[in-house]
Amino acid sequence: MFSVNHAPVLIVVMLLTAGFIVPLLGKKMALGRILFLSVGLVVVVLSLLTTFAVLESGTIVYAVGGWPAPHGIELVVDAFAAYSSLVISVISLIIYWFVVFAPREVKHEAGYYALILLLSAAMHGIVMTGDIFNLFVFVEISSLAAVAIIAVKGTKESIEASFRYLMLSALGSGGMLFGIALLFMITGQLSMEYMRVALSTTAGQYPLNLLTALGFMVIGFGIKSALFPLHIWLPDAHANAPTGSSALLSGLVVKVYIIAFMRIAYMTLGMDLFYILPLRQILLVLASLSILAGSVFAIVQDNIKRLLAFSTVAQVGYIFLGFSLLTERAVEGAIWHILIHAIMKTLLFLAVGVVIHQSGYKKISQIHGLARRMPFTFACITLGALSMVGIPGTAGFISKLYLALGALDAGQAIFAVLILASSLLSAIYYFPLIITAYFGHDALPNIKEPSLAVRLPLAVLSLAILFYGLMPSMLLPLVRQTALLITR
Amino acid sequence: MNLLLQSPVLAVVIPLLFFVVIYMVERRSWRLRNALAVLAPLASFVLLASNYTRVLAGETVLVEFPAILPPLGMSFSVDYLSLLVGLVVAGVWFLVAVYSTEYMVKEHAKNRYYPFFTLTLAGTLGVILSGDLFTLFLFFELMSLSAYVLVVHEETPEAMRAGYKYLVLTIIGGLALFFAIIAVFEIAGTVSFTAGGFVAEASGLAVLAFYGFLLGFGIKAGIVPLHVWLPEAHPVAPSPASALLSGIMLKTGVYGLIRVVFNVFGSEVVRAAGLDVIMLVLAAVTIFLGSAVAIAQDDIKRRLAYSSVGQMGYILLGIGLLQERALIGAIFHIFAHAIMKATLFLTAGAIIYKTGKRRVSEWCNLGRAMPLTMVCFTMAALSMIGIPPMVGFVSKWELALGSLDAGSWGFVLLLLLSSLMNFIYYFPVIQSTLFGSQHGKGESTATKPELPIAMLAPIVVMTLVIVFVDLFPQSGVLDLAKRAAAALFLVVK
Amino acid sequence: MELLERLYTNIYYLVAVVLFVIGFHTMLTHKNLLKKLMALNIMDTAIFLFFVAIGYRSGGQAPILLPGVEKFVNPVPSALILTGIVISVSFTAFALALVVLLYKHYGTLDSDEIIAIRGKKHV
Repeated sequence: MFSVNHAPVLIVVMLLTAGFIVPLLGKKMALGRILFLSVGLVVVVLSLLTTFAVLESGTIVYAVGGWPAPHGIELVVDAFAAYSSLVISVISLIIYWFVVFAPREVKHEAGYYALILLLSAAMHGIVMTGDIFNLFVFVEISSLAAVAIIAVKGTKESIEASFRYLMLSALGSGGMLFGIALLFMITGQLSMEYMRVALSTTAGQYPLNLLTALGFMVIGFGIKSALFPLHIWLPDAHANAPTGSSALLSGLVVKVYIIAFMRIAYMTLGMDLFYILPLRQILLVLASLSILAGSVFAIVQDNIKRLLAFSTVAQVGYIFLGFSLLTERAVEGAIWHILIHAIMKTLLFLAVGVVIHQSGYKKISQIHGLARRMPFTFACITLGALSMVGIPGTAGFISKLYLALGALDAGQAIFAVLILASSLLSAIYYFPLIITAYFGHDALPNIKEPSLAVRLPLAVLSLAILFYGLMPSMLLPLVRQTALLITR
Repeated sequence: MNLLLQSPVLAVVIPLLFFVVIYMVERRSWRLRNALAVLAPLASFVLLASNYTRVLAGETVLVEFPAILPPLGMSFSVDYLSLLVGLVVAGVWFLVAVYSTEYMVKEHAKNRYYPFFTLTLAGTLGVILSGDLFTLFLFFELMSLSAYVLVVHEETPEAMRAGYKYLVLTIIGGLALFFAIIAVFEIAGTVSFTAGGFVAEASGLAVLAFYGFLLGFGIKAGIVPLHVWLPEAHPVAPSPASALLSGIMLKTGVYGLIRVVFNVFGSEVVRAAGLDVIMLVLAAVTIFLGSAVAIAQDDIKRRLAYSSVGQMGYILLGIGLLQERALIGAIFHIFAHAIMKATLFLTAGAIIYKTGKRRVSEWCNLGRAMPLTMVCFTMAALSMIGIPPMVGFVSKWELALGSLDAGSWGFVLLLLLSSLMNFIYYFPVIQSTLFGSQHGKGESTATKPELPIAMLAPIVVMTLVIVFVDLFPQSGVLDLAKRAAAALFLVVK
Repeated sequence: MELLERLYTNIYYLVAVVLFVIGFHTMLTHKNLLKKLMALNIMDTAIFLFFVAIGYRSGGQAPILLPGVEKFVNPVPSALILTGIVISVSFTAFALALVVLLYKHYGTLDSDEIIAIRGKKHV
């Protein structure tokens, strides 16, 4: 008797199990690839089922092993969890497909797949769990896996980048754990729901604890999600990773930590407490600085992947901005952006990875006229870039629209202007890339487009950008429900 | 019958589709490519014209798509103004397309030119036929970005530089528009064009929004001091593209301003907030500077570009005066200047095509080599100066009357002064080419035929329009302009 | 006097914080990679200490159900910390593997030198 309530936990379990089985299939890699892709597909189906269930009957609360909270670990799959899980599973599947069919960048294929599966399991776990220590465990799993998928590339730069990422990530984890410890200290609970109830009475008695806990958590999650000025690890890490890893990291992993922080905010603290503290203003300032710094640094980059990595820093700022403005439309914009940036950045990283692999060129100054040799790939890159700038008709415009409207709703027109100014900055660093690729003379004549199988994920993502740019109505109710969770 | 109802949508969608089709077939058959490029504007023209009777009966055709892009939704509409401007756009585009098929034979990258030529048409028509600010903005961006490809067509360093300037300013303008649109949406909850405007009062945010519109549309229209991209971008493009850039695309900027002033804010609100004064000041500066700097240019295309800047000032004047007659002049000038400037650029292009000479100082005795071409150039130039019975005269007349309605003699003087300046920079060209100077450097015999028919015919057609439209009031252009102005001033409460 | 008393009752927390700061500081300032790693471990241990100290009840016995025992130490933090230690160990193992690879590629364990080498080769 399969009840759809089991779907959330099945997602995590299946990914973990597959993660253990795939390396065993090392000899017969074809089987390994089939398992890898099938698990990705099954997880998409499961998260769709979960989403429909949540839309119909409300939050699914699943007690793992049948042990209910406050003693057992619960998965609290509300609209936000369902949405995030859906985003993660679909984008992951697209990246899985690319990693399987694109030319090999990683020597130990089975190990790579295993790491990606573990990372995916952890990401799903993070967005769905209702227990704060369970959240910590999943965050650690994801951090380790995330560092590992950079290090597998084996080059000097990637090892160094991954080591730095590991150190800073561990620092972030430490901060997070300390925050959890402080919260546990004053509530005695680990279940997020129970903690919130307890906090509503004890927070007044231990304001210092709460403040310190939050401070540590902001620093911890800030490091992990690359909020300015804790973003320094990101450009090296994302630029020196294999293509699929860069896409996963920029498109999903950094977002998951923001989602985790948001869940702690509204599930554990409760938005009333969140409002009281000056946290909101601090986050607004840091988000704005992220947006500006990320964009400005991106402008001076010649290496294309580093440019995309700095762009991620700026985009993460958008999500924090939307969340900190705390009006309904601003939060909707932030939640949209989680999906939309995942689509755009994945498309850009995958397409750029293809270009680098086919041509050997990594820098903007080298790709003169390359678009003539690879029209399809560069059409995808152009679409992705237009979307990142926020040209209407593309998906990127939708999230900027909602964020700007949300800023105006909050009475803070300055942030709307900031969003627009950053669009201009984005144009300044994306357009030269496109223009150089289309105009000018290329050197090597025998550069070909990638195989059809590799072009498929690029095409799907491009279509998604256009589709969500014009008809976002399909996901609108889900996003709205999610926003209401936070702003109620 | 249903198709007729969807005409504005179809008029925009067809060029979009043709963009894709042209891209797909162009490698196989250049004839098909050229045919499609000519067919697209013609189809749009016919489809748009099919709305003539309905619109003239007073109806505004409206097609809405609230499901696309919530919460704003998209909509298309055809009223007097959009019918007139839309027909001008499609008509001129058709003629320029015919011209292109011959002119571009000597050029490179034709397979890039034709698709983007058609895509820009889709964007431009989308702007004109939009029923709300947001749809207008969407197609505005499409048009602007697509036109970039036309601007940098030659791929010379100057072209790339001009293109870069164009792009940066276009993006800034686009962002200013975006801000203005969301501000309006925030204030009023809607962005649909409404007769008499829907912004109730000029609050701080509303005024800020207006400045945003002014900035965004002003950059596109080439209003001083936002015009800096124009004198470089228009000359570096291939001549047919220059004709479109100067003749049509500038108009989308002032079209947007007309919609903003009359269908978003309403003339009362604009007057109450003193925003009309700003427009008048900008108009005056633009008229004066545009004409003045044109005098100093030797390259014919730069001279024509600066002339366009000045002419856009006229239209802004017509809007800023907030008088019905002035608006008639402005709207008529959209039509008139489009035809005149297109003719001028096409003839200039023809001369460059045939003789390779871009500098006015070298244009001696061309009248003998290319008589018909130069006659057309002369007619268009005389029209720009404002000599009756050419169309240029009519718009200046209405503008002057409108200035008097507003009680302002100063603007009448400005109009006269600028006509004088137009004379100063057009007449020497006419004189040296038609009557010849004593240098005798030019060719002395006319080669037969002086120009390929594909290039000559559009020029002649437009010249005929310039000369004869006013002589035949049944042509209805002025009538349409008058009705459009009346409708825009109408306040339906 | 009261301050000293408060410090005394919270001595475990205090020591934990001191250890945390030592680890944090070392990690950021010292250049040797192994030292950074050790500092990270010290930091993690500090947090574990903090956690366990939360669970302590003065006069409490080990959390095993025996007849006659009334007061227990809170078992939950200990369970949590076991998990935490495992995580810390995995991190350290992975980090050490990376350190070995870094030494193979760069020939040094000094982070400044590594950055310098990368800066030169970084075209």
